[in-house]
Amino acid sequence: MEDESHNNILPNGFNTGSTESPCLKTSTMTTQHNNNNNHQNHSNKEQDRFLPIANVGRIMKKVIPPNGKISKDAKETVQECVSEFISFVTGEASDKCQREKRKTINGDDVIWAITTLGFEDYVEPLKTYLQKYKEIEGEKLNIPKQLRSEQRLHQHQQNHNNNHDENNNQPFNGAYASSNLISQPPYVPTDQKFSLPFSPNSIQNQLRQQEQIDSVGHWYE
Amino acid sequence: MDQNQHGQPTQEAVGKNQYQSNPMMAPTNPPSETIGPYVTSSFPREKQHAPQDIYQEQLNNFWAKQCQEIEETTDLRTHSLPYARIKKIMKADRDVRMVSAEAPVLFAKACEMFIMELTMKAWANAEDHRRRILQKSDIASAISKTDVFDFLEDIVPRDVGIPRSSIAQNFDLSMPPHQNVTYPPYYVPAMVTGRPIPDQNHHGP
Repeated sequence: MEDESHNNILPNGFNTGSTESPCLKTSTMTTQHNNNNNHQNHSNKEQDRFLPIANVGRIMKKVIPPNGKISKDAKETVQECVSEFISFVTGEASDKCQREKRKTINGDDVIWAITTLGFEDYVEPLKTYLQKYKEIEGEKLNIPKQLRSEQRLHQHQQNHNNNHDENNNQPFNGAYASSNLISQPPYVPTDQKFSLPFSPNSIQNQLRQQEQIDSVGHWYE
Repeated sequence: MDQNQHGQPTQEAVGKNQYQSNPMMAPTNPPSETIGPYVTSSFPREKQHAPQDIYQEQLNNFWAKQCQEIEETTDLRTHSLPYARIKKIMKADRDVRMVSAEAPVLFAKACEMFIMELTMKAWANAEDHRRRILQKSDIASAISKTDVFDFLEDIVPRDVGIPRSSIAQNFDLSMPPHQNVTYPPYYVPAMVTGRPIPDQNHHGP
């Protein structure tokens, strides 16, 4: 509920609450339609190439009038465009890392690539976002050792869900290194760190996040 | 559902006006004036001219609001897109070896802004054609009109896109029945060139 409210904060001030049900219906029909047209293996592989159409549709709804509608093929087209955007930016960031003989793509590389590729308007919001992320991560590193182990567990689980990385500790160590540079005192109350609002996602993602909740609760106790 | 509105009082007022005008516009105005709900009445508008100034201002407001929303964010877990899927798409490139934890987090935000920008521009095209349903052709038009979206040219054909199947169209038309009563039925514009085969999906190297 709380998270849904956050998602409905619209740049143009429109209220999309009343259109949520139609959006969900569209998602369901889209899923059924896709399943009918694709072999199961191909369907799974196809779905992995794109972000979930429900999430994409929900974000699209934020910037059109309440009585506007979005066709299924428009949502599918944007799904493809977003994957292309990720690959496009990632490719540029990866090239930069290789030139500098680094193995890990980090946040600054992503922002650099987005700047290079002409998305100037995105840069300031993303720099602010990355700064926020590092602040919050820095605060997490001040928590007791048990919770650090929990952080490492999270990282491990995330890597396990994807293609298994050769070196699981590398990204986490990177986070340590970058966070150590932050000297600002933490300002977020401790109890807020463990309240985890979620936006509605697919069942699979909900299960993954449920695992996160269990992990947090376990170590916190 | 609790609706939290972040923003300056003036912006909030504008938003409320736009929202309040919707019920009045829908039943009483002819279809040719359905542009009302989205564009505030304070903007003068010539039907025959593309309202570039209006959409540029909307875009500027959009970006200003993005910075403001991020400043007010205290919990980065409230995201709209799954990190795991983003990471999987990133690692589809064989040259990509390792990805730090912060990269998918940034991409989630970048993709959200990308989707919103693309959709806003596509909706402008739909509105220019007096339509209430966003079509693939609107996405294609937005891409062709924006230089920074050149890398997407091969995702959508340059000419007007055709829905992948008539079944898909029926799904769209069967959406909220009560809204179909309010507006005229969806009209497929005449196609100069037809493509019997559904569009082939292209994905980057």
